[in-house]
Amino acid sequence: MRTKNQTLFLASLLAAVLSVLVGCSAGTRNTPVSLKGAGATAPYLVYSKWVEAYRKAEFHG
Amino acid sequence: MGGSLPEGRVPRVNLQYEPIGSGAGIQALKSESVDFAASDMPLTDEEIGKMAVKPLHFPTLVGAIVPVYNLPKVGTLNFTGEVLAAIFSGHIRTWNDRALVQLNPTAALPASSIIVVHRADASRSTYAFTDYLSQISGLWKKEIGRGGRVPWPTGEAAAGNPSLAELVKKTPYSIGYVELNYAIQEALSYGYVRNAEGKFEKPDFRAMGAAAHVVENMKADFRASITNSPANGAYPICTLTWLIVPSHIADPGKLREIKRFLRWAYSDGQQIALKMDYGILQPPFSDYVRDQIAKIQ
Repeated sequence: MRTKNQTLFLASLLAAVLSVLVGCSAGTRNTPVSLKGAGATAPYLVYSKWVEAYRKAEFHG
Repeated sequence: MGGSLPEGRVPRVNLQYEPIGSGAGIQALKSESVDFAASDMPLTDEEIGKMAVKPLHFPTLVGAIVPVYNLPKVGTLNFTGEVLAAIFSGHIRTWNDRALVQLNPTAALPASSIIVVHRADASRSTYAFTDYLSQISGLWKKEIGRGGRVPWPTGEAAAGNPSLAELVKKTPYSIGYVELNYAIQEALSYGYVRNAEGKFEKPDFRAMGAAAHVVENMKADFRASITNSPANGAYPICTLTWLIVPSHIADPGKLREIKRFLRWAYSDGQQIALKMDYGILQPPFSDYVRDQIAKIQ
């Protein structure tokens, strides 16, 4: 019989492993990585084009 | 923002950019509510010293501030910093002033009064313009100085590049200053300005790229000013825009994708900027900047 502490430890370990696995897979399979930027207005015309072009260029293979 | 995506394909990254102003962007970076900031002004050593994670500056775009004017039947004009300072401080008041005629002997300059148009709001255009005038003209430095907003002694005010361009466009005999791409968009006449070499340079992508060739300054610190650049072929009123990125990013996905995005920005992204009348960094400086991407850990 496992003790309550052992069960809690195993559950925590499992959660940690899942967390790492989810973290590693984020952005490499189906979940896009979120990148947020903000700031200067003067270059917005260029940066908005960059965002548009980059969205079209970068996909999961 | 952005066009439609190919059906059934999942983007690697959801990239967003909000134009909230340089100061607000830097504040957002400090509070870690964004992954990167974009700014017309680099952070000072003091500001960097107060940040928990040291930020890295990536100069991305070279912009030019050009004098724009509305003079019927007059083509491209030459200006010097001294003459621009005298016009915008109200010391030169008519278009056929001797100083202007000397610089433009073949132009049919009218005897009309010059109507100065300047920015009403704080802006990087004003900062770059007045920074340049302060370097060239002791009179300007003493009487008005440099800044995003300065005490203009004369002229009408307009908020933002588009409004200023529009005001010049509808006001005969006026002169103002805007970013080059706005002058081109509004089909405004814009002048050439004498550079540190003594040549009147057309503000195009070559002259803007050349301005960033301030070898020692730029190699040592990507925050260097490129106004009144001593480089050959440089247009003298140029300014940089930086992407400011933390040097340490804990999230491995964000770390990977921001480095990927920066590499893209210095290849495909620069080509887009060129088509939009911005200058770009050229080798070897573009190589130095690319090397810095590896420093993000």
